[in-house]
Amino acid sequence: MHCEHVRKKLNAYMDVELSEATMEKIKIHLDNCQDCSGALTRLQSLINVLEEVSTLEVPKDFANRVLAHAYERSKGAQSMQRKHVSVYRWWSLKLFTAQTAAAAAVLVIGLAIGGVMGWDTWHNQGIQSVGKSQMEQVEPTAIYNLDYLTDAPKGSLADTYLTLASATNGWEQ
Amino acid sequence: MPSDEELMLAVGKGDLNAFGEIVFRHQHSAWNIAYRFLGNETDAEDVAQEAFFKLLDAAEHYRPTALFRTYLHCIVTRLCLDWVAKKQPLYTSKLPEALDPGHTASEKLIFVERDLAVRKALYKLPPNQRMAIVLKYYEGIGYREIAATMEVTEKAVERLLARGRASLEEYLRNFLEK
Repeated sequence: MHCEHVRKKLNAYMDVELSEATMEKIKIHLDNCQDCSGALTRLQSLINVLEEVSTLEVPKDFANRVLAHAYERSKGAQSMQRKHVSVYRWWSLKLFTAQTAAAAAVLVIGLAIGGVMGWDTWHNQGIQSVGKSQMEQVEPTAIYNLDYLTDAPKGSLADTYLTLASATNGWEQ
Repeated sequence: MPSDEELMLAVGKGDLNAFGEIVFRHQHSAWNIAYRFLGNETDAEDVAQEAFFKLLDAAEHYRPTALFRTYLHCIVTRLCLDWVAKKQPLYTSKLPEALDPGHTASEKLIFVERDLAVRKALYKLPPNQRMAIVLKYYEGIGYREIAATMEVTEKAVERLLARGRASLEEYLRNFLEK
């Protein structure tokens, strides 16, 4: 194995991310190459520095803050869901009420119109029946002042003659 | 004790106690990745918190096809990369709160100086290289899992790590053994 090839694989060798066979070949090379083993030492030193860096603890109450927010969000989501449902119910109710009211209004208007028309018809029938009985008793010419169409209209020569003749002979008109 | 995957399925059915257990189990990992990557405690907390919320939102559709840890790391990684794409996080050189009392004052000073140098060096790396280094050395996960987390090939992970380490070696040469 050449140095160039080993240097390319050195990171993966240090991270133990190579096959056993490749690891073994590189190990043999490192045992016999000072330059490559020096490069590995520097790399190892870097990793030590990185890993030795002190860790900062998670801020106090971080988990509690996350959970508090989660509960808030959950409650918010539930209330939104409830709100949505109640708005839907309210809207459904409104829609139902509006439909019912419209149907009732149509029914009432229909009944009213029907009633008026029925009453009008009944009323007209009454008048007509009264008129008919009257017509049966009274001469149409008398009702409508059409006596001038009779044989002897009032004030006419014929009427005067008939009046005089009836008075002389004791006739009745 | 239920596995992470079982807990997630319970979360999907609305069990917030199961979600609490997941948060307690993985808060350190999520926060650590975010903090190491972003270099800022406030941003790290926002990202880690957002990652758990995303987990909660996705729980209903969660299917345990992959390791839960990879699933969570994937969410945190995406959020971190999005975060730096949208805004440049403000790097803060916050010091560790408690150093080992067994060390002398001068040793403590060296540790503090080295910590700051490492954080600054990490912060100089391109986002993908930085994330690969964080996942490898601060979460201790292998190439295959890093590849799944970052949605790249294992070869790409190897290259990212090699380039990242080469840059870090340059930035941190004063702290490396001669």
